Amino acid sequence: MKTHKTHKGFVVTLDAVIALVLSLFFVSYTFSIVNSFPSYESVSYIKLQRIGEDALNIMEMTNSFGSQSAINTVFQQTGDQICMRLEIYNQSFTPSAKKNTFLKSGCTYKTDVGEERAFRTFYQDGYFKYAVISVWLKEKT
Amino acid sequence: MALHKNNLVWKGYILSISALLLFSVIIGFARETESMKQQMKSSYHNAVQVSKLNYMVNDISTDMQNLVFADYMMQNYSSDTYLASITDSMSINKTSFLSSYSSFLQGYGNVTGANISFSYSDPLVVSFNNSMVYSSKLDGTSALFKNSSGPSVAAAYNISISANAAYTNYTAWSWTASGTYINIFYTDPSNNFNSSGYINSSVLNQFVMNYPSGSVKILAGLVDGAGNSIGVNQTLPGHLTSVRINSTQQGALPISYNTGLNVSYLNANYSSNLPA
Repeated sequence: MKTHKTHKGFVVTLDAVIALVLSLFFVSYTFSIVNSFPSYESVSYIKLQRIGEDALNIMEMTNSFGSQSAINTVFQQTGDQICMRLEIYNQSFTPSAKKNTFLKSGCTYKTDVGEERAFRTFYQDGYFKYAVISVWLKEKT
Repeated sequence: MALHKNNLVWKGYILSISALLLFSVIIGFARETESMKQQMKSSYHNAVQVSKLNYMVNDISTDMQNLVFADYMMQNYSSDTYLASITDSMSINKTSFLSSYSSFLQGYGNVTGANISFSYSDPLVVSFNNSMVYSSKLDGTSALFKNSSGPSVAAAYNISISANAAYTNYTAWSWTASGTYINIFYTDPSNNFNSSGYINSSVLNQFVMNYPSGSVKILAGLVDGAGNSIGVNQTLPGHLTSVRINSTQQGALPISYNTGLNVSYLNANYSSNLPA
């Protein structure tokens, strides 16, 4: 009678353990699926790149690449949380061809700032040039 | 007792089957979600690639507008009428521009990770979807807005011309009482005038401005075999700095330049004429 009860307890415990393992497996599997959806960060980098492309597009359409004040006007319209740095290259995208750098006021550029870059070509004063914009999120203070 | 035990076994069996069925449903749901997620990710990546490609094609098209810029504005929705405008920068050496641009785009492709090839021919042409065609010779000697459809499509033109030298004299064409209406705005460092009226669009009309070296002709009417057209010729390139032609036309949406463009970015590809 006692042996029968011991066996019963053993079966119940084993049953509970198997149920627990299975439950944990299903819960972790479901979580892994939920977590593998495109995260905010992966969507965010595309957003930053789009903002950069839009800014460059507007600058070219309004012929702003030669004017600090016109560039600042576009910068200021991108919102407080967005930081930007614009570089102008003459004819080739090489360090020696870099002509100008414009930084949005209130922003500090660091190498590990986590920026996204967008490129635009334009024609000015008889030369083809590159405008390269770096866009990143301002650090919370 | 035996019956009770038998009942319990059956109950356990049914519970186990139910649990297995439930888990199977959950697994099926998870797999479906996983496959949906993969599809979403794939179409998301495709959308990003297409958007990037569209941005690059637009960038190249904007650069080409430095040579010839085709613009339009809706005037009457019900009659599909637009104010179409073409601005030709005659002061830019088009041959040199296009040749440099072609090699510059190779570099642009390297920088952006795209594969870009660009081809052009003489003259540079912008086609409109109402069959009007604007063609500009690369050596800057002539530009022509050809209207194969006649006055029903464009019954009036404004032509604005800027020159970098003062003319010595000019000879106007014969204005008529009716026909195609032409409005000329001319500017050079010493002169500017506005002259307007009707011309007979089935014959060639020439408005000639003479300079110390060479001449500029405004051609209207039957030009290059097409009636109701308008254009300019200059014997020596360099006198004209810009030519702008406006006209109210039905369906005058600019379609494309005759320059070929092939851009590949990851799995996205654009291979056609450059949109104007």
